[in-house]
Amino acid sequence: MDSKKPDLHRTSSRRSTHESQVEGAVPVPKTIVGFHVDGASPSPATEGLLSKEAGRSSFTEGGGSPTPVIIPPTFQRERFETREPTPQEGSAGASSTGVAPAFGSVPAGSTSQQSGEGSIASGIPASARPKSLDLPAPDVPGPNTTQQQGNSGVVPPFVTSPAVVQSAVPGFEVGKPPQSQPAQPSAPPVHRSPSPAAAAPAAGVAPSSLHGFSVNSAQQQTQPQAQQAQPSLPQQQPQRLQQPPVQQPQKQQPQQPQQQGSSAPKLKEMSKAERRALQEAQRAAKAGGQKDQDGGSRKEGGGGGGGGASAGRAHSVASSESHSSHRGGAAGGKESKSAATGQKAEDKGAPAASLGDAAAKAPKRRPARKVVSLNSTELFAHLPPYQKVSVSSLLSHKDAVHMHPAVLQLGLRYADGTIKGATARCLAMLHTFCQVIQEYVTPPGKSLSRDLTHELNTIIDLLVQCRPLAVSMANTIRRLKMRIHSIDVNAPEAEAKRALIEDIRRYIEVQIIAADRLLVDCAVQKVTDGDVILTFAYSHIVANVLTKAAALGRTFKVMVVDCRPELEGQRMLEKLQASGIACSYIHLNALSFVVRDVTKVFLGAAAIMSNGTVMGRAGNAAVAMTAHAHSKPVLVCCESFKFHERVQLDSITHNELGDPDALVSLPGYPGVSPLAGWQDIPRLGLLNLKYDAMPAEYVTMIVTEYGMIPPTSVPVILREQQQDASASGGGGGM
Amino acid sequence: MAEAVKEKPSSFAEVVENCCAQLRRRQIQGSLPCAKRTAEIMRALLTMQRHPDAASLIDDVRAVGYKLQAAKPVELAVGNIVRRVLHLIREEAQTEKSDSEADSNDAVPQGKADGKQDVMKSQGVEHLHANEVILTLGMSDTTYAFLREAARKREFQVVVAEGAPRYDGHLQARKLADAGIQVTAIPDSAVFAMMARANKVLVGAHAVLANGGAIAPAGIHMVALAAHKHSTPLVVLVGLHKLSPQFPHDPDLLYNDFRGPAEVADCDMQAQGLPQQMAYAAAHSGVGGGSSEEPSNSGTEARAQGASHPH
Repeated sequence: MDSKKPDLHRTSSRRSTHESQVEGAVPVPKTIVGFHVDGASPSPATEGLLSKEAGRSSFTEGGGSPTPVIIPPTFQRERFETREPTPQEGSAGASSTGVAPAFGSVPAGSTSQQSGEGSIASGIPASARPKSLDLPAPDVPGPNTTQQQGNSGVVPPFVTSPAVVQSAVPGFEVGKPPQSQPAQPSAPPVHRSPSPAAAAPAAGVAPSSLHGFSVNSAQQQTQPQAQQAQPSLPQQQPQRLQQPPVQQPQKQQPQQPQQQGSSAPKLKEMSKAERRALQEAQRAAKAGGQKDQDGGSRKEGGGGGGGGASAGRAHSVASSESHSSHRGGAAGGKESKSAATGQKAEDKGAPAASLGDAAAKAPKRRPARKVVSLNSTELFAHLPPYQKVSVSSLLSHKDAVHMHPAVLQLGLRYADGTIKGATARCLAMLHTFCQVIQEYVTPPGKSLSRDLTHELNTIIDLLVQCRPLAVSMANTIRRLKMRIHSIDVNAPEAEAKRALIEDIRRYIEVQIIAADRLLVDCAVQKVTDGDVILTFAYSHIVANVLTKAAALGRTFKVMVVDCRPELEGQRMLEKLQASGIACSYIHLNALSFVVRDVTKVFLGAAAIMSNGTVMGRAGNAAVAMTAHAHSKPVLVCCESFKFHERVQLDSITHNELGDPDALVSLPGYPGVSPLAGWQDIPRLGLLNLKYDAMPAEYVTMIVTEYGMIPPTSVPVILREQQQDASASGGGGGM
Repeated sequence: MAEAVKEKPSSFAEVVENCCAQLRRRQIQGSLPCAKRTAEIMRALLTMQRHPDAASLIDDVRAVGYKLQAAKPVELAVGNIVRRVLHLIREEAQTEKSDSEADSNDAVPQGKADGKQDVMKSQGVEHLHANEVILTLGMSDTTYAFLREAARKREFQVVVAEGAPRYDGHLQARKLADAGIQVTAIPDSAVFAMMARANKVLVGAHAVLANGGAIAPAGIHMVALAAHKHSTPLVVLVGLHKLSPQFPHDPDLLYNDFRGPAEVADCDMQAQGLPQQMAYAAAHSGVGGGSSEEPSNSGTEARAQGASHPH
């Protein structure tokens, strides 16, 4: 790896300092940087994620201030965790060695050898890197993915501390020289020119360069880096040896001195994996406290130059709580209380946590469970905890490298809420599937129906990471898979794909668009002059019904009931007002006051179960209940593709957890919510349920594209749909 | 408060006027402060004015009571305290036919209001069992004291709905958590969902009416309905001074209190809707007779306080 770096720098001269630095520090595919930048904007979707060029350029322009993206420390930490397992899987030698030095007690000789190996191993992919920068190469095997994860880890540092990034260049170079002495002189100018501040003494900057490489929060990471940088200096470049001590005190944290001493004897620069391991160890020590550290050092002593597996395990045990890797998962399960508290403390700093990788998930789950736990009963342990998804977390997903960019874009839009609502999500998903299918090429030796299904599965996995599937999506996916299965094996690929896309298009037209139109036509009949219609939050179908009724000249009033934390009713209000409908806007709590004036209640739904239970935005059930108590008719508008055979009895068995922090923010409310800082309070949890289940007894009727039916007739429609689908490959496409 | 009143050397009428103004301006809020203030005024009435006999005293007390109650009809505690005083006066007048009623009057109403908390708190342990899930909405001092007391002997969990638009549930959740109780804060929309897991619902109330209905902060009706649906016992924690003999013929309209809509929809949002509504009104006023009325009722409205549930 090290030997390659100089080359990389030279070739990337046109790139921004940041990028080149990043790459230098760790082999980073460009894509990630580009993605990252895109993600920085509130809705990554607006701009194609594919446009790496745009992303890159924007990033480069930033020069000194790549500020737009703010990645919380937690997030960065996770990246680490993510990376850890990969070295073990991919290039075992490198990663293993990396771990050992982290604890600082390993004999120098053994480490040096191993590190050398590691660097070589990582160096191999470096050659392929330039290519991967522009396009994630799906065919690059294990090592490549390892790098990518590592790379993704690199991204955050930019964000957190631009200065560090700049300085990273020199430091990085410091590491390089040993292997390619001649290259060094030439390389520095390129990198330094953009960042004069960092240009000074390479050695002094070294720690920070490592910093750039490390993903962790500034303090914790810097220390390990400092360790690494300094040891490496002595061996490789004696002349620089003197500089580090001078400058480091300024830049580094108090802990540094000790570490320097211990690690100083160690040889040259460590491989990426090593550094990572070092940092992780450091973090572990911090998070886990004294005990953890002991464990780690003990292990390491035994492991010495031992296999990566043992070292990695040692690490995971030591820091079972704060970073459980794939390997350490088991250990992480039995995390000790102390570790948990440490974790919590860390999380405070950055509540916005990323997920996207299985490894990353494990640590996240713990705090999240605390979020919703009702103490011992753990009412919501069965629900996936809310995890914030961001660009880099998404990219750290194991399949992200091979993923069609449109999928990543879709996932992010799901995650950040720019696409929400059962219908909208389903539509967007189908559009994305079309894109994927269009560009899909069956690998040689495989059949389209098999491989495409597999491809879809990985896509869906990724989407689920971003947000759990809606029932509408699940239904659609099932239909689509059935359709793919039915593709003739001998059919030419192009034709099969065309037919498939055509079917998806037809499905959209028939099941969604035409169904919506029919449904609206049907429901509009129920809006009569003088009505006072109550509706809750935002449902696009209800909005359509009401605007259509207004367009037909009916005179009626609408009461929009809304509820925190999403306040979607405001959107509804805007839409209705835009079409000239007289509206009132009230909170859910005031519902019982206005409900007596209401003549009809129109609600949307996320799904309807076969026992007539209506799943909808949290609060739907309360509205229906209140209306029912006052003998007001409740009409639920729902297309039949959202019907599901499952039976649901209450809102808790199947639900989705939202961002608990959304509860704390009170826009427009004077002062700060007393809940602020709730993460610090051990006995306080916030629960943000996304859906609730409205019992069928509250539903007067369900309006579907088939007409108006009582909730008891849902199974009939389901049965007919099934017959339809099985009989004729789908009357409505697919 | 008491000092402030007495310091004003002015007439008793002025004291009453003063209090009425404060009530109207919501400078005295909550039934307990209202009850206390009423008791103080009653005491002032007894001490500052001499009455030849019980009948004239009763007349005076009544007149003052009407005045105070009219200033803030929703504060039923005012009327309750006045009734209590009247009752004491009548009792006193019956036993001794003399006019020595003054001394016995002072302490009683106030003591009642203050002492009720302790008595109620002590019942906490009786009603809660281990590992229970309690659901509550908003902030209520009574509920807080009750739960905190119970937490000394029992381990249980509390689910607190935030109680929009006052969001005092946040405060309640924080205080309970600080007191060492396991708390989960939820938005109001999740009340129905969480009711399935709650063992009991404990709420404070503003007043309890003759039919057993309670007047409580907005949202309680929904909670009560959800509790009813899930057959969860709902316990209303109130002091005796909140029990009112009045009957709610039209509770929402008679005993409600409205606050500014800005708490529900900020002014920007209201302003956004305004031109559209005006345009709509203008367009429709020429067309048909009835339609012009609609916009006048519309726009963003807020109903912040008050809901009752005859339950």
